[in-house]
Amino acid sequence: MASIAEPVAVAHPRRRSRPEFGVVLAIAWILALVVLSILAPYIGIQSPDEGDLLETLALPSADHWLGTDSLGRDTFARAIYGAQVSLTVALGSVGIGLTFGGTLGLVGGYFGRWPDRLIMGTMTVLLCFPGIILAIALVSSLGPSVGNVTFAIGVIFIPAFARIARANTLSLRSREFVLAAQSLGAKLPRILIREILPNLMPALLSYAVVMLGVAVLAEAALGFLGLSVRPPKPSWGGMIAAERGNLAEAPHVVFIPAAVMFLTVLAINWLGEATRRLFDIRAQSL
Amino acid sequence: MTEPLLQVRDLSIRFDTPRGLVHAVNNVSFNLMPGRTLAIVGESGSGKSVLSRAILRLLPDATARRSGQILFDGKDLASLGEAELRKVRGKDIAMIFQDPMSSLNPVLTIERQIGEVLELHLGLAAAARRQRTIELLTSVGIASAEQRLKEYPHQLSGGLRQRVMIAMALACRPRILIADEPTTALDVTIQMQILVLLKRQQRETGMSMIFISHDLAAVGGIADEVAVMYGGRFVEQAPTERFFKTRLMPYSEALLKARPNPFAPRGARLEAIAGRPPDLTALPPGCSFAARCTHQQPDCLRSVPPMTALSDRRYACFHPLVSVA
Repeated sequence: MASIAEPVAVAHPRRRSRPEFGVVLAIAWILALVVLSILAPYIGIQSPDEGDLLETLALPSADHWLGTDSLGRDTFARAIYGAQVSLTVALGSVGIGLTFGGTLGLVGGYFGRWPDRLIMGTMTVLLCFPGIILAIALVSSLGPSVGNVTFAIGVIFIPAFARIARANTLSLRSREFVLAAQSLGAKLPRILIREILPNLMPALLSYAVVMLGVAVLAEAALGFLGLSVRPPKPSWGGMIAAERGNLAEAPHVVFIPAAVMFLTVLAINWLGEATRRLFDIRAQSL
Repeated sequence: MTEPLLQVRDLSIRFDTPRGLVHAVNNVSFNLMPGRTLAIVGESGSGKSVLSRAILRLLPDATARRSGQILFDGKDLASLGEAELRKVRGKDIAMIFQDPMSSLNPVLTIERQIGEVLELHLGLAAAARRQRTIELLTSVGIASAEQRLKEYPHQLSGGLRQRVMIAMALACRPRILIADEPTTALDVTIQMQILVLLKRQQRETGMSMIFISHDLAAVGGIADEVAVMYGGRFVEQAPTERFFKTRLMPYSEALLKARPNPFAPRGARLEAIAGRPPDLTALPPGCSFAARCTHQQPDCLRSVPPMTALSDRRYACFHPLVSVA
């Protein structure tokens, strides 16, 4: 029998600060994509536009890490330049959704009555359009460009952000700290921006991260339909669309850009999940 | 004789609700003298908090209807514009709330929250704000104030949070502090500390206080005068000492008797007040306490007893408990 003096090993509580492996991978993937796409013109990546017609539909090799497409263009280079488009559109459209949707929801939720009815009514109308069809309509009337694609996807995102902001504002505005701020003489903008907005951020930001992934997919869908950047500029959706005729003889030309996109969206969703958990823990300790 | 700092005249507050018009506060009048403390006691739903919020016009304009006057230093707060009102809020009249957990913003540091008031009303620069914030925290008895600056409300205990709230309210040296059940959410020893703190601050700054509570022990310790509220009306008002000696209005008497007695024999019944508080959407034509009153007489049901003055106390009852000759 063990004597009572014998030290008993105490199980060490798991250190919370160590991030999960999956999250690290996700961050690494996205960082690599961001760094590569920013530095693409300066680090000797091959031209995404110039093809070597002697080497079409090549398999991955030392010269062409991810192979080449039907015009002999380097798939790796095109994927990186495509990432420029994808990431710009994703950040831009989520930015639009977050800014406009967040503001509208905050205003509607705080003031209630007719501003709320007006704003939420408009949002409901906007929600009635199937998202991708609205985006197609917007881009085809405005013309395909990074700016217009960003705008179109951003507009689709506005209602969801507005609803989240409104729902949270509704519960926050009747909290005592808002009353306390009023009783201390705070002006209206101050109450909205300093008291309520910071409390909305956890919900809005974790949703924003998830929406980044949706934006990447939406941009690819538009690209597939030829409504993203104009060829020969590369976009992931456009690369898949252009090569889909060669699926039988050279599937890698389609699957490699698709895989890049898949991994990116997966990484973003992983991050979104992690952000949500992060804010959840804090919410519990409040 | 000095002028009252705050005069409330015939104040009534009604709320439009789907269930009907709620008569939350009915024809309440009182004076608050400089440097004095008025305690307002009453059970839940008697209109104490609505009254306290109405003074600073914190009730939603959309649903609350107000009549009567609130004279602060001669100005009628009820007729001030939004901008002028904001100058009074926090600077001349400040307020602390019941639950220090929810009255501090969970995502702002202590420094930011207190600094905000200082910036708003006194226009202090960052360095001066910080200095003053540390002073304020120290003055409300928070040790190592400098470390606390960077902390968030959830890192503080209930007592500390209420101290922070008090520091915020006192930041601009208000002339009136409205304390809406400041100790209700705290445990007994902390309650004591907060009361002592409030009294000390009052001695140092000479401010007046409106202390809202249902804790009669706390009231006895802090107030100069006690007002009992029932069904949205003031039913009795008296200097604290005299109030604890004799009550004229049966409700006040019942309220005092309803306190659990720690020395009562085991198994003794608690002297609860039978019945329920009146429905504020449909107040009876007579005394609102009549239905629960043990001294009820026919005339109690017919009309609302008027506020009757008797030397330095007032009561609203046709049949006061101590015969008034």
